[in-house]
Amino acid sequence: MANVIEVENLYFEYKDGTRALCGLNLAVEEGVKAALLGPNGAGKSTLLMHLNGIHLARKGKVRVMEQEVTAKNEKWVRTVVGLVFQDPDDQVFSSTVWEDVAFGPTNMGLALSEITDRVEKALKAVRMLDYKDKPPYHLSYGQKKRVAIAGVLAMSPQVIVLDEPAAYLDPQGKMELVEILDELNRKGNTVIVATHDVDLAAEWAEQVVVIKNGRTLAQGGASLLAEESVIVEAGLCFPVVARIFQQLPELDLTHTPLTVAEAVAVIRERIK
Amino acid sequence: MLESLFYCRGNMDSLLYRLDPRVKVVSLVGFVAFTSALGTWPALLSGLVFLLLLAGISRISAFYLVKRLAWILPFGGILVIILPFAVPGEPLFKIFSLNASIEGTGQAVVLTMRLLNAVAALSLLTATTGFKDLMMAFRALRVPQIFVLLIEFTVRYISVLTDEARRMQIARKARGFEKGRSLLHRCTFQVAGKLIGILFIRSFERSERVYNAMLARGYAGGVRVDGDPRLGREDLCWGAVILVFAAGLWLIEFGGVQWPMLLK
Repeated sequence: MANVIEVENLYFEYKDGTRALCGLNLAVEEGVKAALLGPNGAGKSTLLMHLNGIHLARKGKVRVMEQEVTAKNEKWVRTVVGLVFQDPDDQVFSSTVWEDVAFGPTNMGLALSEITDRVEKALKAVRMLDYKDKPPYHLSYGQKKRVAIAGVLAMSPQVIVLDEPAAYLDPQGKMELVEILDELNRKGNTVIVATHDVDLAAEWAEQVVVIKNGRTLAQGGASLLAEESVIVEAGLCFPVVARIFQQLPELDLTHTPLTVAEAVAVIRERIK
Repeated sequence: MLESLFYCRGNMDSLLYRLDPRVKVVSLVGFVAFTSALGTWPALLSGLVFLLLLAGISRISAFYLVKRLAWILPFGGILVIILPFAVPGEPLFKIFSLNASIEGTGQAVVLTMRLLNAVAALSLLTATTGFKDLMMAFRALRVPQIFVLLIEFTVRYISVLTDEARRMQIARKARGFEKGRSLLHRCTFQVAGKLIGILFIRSFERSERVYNAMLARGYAGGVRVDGDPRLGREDLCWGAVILVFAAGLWLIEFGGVQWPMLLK
C-alpha cells in the first residue's frame, strides 16, 4: 500500500540553537495504526509539527500523500493531517464545546449546514454530544481530550496524529480513547500516536517507529518492541507482557508475545 | 467565579432575556453614553428609575443588582468622598477643619448617579445575556476581531492560569514554605516575585502552543461566519424605547429652558 506520510532526512533547529531533528527518516503506510516511540526530548512533538505544516522543512523533505509540504499547500495539508495536541487546554479554546469543534470546519470555509453536520458527527464519535453547550473549563481532563479529538475529526482528515494521547488519562479514559482510535481506523483513517508508553504501542500499533535524539532508530512491525538492541538504545523499556516472557526462557518461544491476547494464546497452548 | 459569565440569572422568559443581544448591546451602551452626559440629578434619577423598571419587568433579583452596584464603592467611592471638600464654594457642613461645599456635594451626587446609571445599565446587559451571545453580538456589530478574541481568551484561560498558580502554591507549601506576615517580609516577597515570573513565562509558552493548535486547524485570522438571523420588529421597538428615553432625557436637559417656551 502507498505511504501516506514520508519524511526524508529532516533537520530542525529551534531559534535558541537546540537541535530537535537531525536527519530523521520515516514512512507511514496508508490506513495503519502507527506508534511513534521515543523518550522525552527525542523530537516527537517537533516532528508532529512538520506533519501538519506548522513547521516547514528547512532541510530535508516531508511528503503527505505524495505531495511535498510547502508554504503553498500548508492549508491543504492541515485538512489532510489532523493534529491533536498533548494538552487539551492548549487546543480547546472557545467558550463552548460546540464552537470549538466548529472552529476547524469554519476555517475551511464550509457552509453552515455542513459545519453543523460535521460537528454533530464528530461529537458523537467521541461520545461528547451531550456536552455541546458546556464551556470547556467545566469538563474533566478526559472529556477535554475527547473534545480536542472531535475538533480535529470535524475537519475530516485522512490522517489523525495524536501527541501523547494517553498522558494523564485514568484507566477508563485510556480504554475509551483506544476504542475511539480503533473506530477511526476501521473507518479508514490512518492513526499515528506519538508516545513513550510502550504498553500502549505494543497493544495497539501495527507499525512502530522508534526515534531518539532527532533520528530514526528503527521502524517496522510491533515485534520491534521485543528487540533488546532497539529498546535499550532508545532509552525505553520492554512492554510488561514481554518482560514476563523474557523471564521464562524454559518456554523456548520463537518470538516473545507482546500483547495480552498473544500471551493468553501461548499460555493456553502450553497448559493443554 | 466565572459562573456568572456563562449562565443568565432570573426568569429566562422575560423581556430583556428574549431581546436580541445585538439590540441589547447597542441600546444599553447608548443609554450609558447619554446618561453619562447628563449633569442634573432629576434627569439622572429618572434614568435610574427607568432602569429599575426594566430590571423589574425582567425579574432580575434586587439582591443581584445591589451586589453589582456595590462594585462602584472601591472605584468611585473615594472620589465621591473627596469631592465635597476639594471643590471650593459655599460651605455646607464641617468635619474637623475641613469645609464641604454645596457645589462639591452637588458634583459628588451627580457623579455617583452617573456611575449608578452606567453600572446598572451594563449589569442589566450582562445579567440577561450569556457570554457566548454577547461575543456573537460584538462580532455581528463589527467590533474588531482582536478585541473580541482578547476577551474570549482572557475568560477561557483565567481559570487555567489560576489553577496553575494554585498548584504551584500547594507545591511550595508541601516543601515547607510558610507565608510571611506581609509582603514586606523579604523571603515572601522574593517567592511571590518568582511565582509571578514563572506564571508569566508559562502563559507566554502556552500562548505559543495555543496559537500553533489554532494554526493546525487551519486558522488564518479570518472572521467566523455565524448564522445571521434578522432582527425582529419587537426587538427593534424595545431597543428604540431604551435609546429614545435616554436621548430624550439628554435633550430635555440640554434645552431645558427653551422647551417650555417652544411649546407655548
